[in-house]
Amino acid sequence: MRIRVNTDLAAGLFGLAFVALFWYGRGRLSMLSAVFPDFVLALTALLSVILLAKGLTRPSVRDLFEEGDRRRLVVVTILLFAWWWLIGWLGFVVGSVLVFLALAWYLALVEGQVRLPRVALWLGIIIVEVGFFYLVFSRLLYIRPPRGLFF
Amino acid sequence: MAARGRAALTEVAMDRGGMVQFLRTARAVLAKPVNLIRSAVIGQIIAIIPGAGGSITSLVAYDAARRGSKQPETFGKGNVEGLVASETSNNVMVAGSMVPLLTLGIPGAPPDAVILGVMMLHGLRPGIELFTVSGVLTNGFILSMGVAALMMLPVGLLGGRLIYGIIVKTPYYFLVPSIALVTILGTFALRNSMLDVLIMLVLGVAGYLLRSIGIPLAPVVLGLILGQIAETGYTQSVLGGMAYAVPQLRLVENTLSQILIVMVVLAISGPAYLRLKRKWRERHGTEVSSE
Repeated sequence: MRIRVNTDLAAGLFGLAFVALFWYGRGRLSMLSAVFPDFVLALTALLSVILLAKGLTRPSVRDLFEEGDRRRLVVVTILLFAWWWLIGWLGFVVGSVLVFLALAWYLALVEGQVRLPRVALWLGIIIVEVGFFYLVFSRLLYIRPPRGLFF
Repeated sequence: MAARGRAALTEVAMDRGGMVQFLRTARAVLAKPVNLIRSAVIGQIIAIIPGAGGSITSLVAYDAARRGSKQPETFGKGNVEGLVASETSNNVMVAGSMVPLLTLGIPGAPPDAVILGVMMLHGLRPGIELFTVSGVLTNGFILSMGVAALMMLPVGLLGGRLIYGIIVKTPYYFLVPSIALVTILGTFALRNSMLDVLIMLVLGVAGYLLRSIGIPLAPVVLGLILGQIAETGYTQSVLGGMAYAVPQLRLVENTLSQILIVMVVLAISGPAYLRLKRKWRERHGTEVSSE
């Protein structure tokens, strides 16, 4: 299904929504604190109005989400957010190995079926890769990746 | 999309021919001298501004190349002009950022702060004395930057080929999660915060949606990098201009500000003028041929 969007209109409306959101969120700023945000908001509002005018008179239309497979895009995005959540819950190494494997398996499905021995081999490679980064960050750079139930 | 990109990379990999390949690339780079010179000038100007880094020069030069190109729609889809612009300005910036460092002691980029620290350790103070009392050492330092720039070619050719070979051979289903892994770790390492990682993911989705509706992301990134500097500068200028009826007039009274404003106006109006000229020529040419 093709989704065609008037990008000038969409960008103009987005700009005005952005201005409205931050204008009402300004609160009680002092004159000096408000001087730069006010300037940016006024400039954004002006450019948004110009875009809206262009969208109504000489619109640019383009297909939305024309690149790649939309379902794959959504699944990969969900997996990335799951990665963030699992790192906090299970720990960096365990969470990363699990989601890395899931991502690799899901993306490889594009080429065809993935057999279990292949997945087992991948698991070994992924453990080495994640472990390498874990050791470099924790031992050499003294940045300890987050720990959860495991490590 | 990944498969398409991989196919394109494989085509390039098959087209290996050592020196021939190198000469072909060199010809592609030198084929657009205006792009090359413009990017170098942009890199040099931004390098002199303290606090601005390589990422800013790359983005500005890329944007200028895109707006100046006859095929802006091919940028981000394999047009070599964008690569040439961003890399030229990025490399020029390395040497250019030495100007505020050696003369005023202001580091133009984070690596320059390290160099400044080493200079201070050795008792070298940036300023006029650096070029008079310690002139031999300073000139040697400047010359070594020239040698380093020349050495970038063989190192880049050897290292680039090696890294390129590894990346091309890596299956995309391993490449994508590997990039995500490094991105997550890099974001976390900045402030040891998982909230930063979540913000990175949310902004990634927002960036994709913005790009889909036609909002280019380079200016958004520039706004994030320069926002703090711009806010401080703007507020200070307005505060200093309180004596005027319109405090913002303070922004245009300085010669440097006026030059920068003229440059901004030229940068904005230049491509529009060229487009209008092209359209006028096309229309004029059509009228002449129809007569």
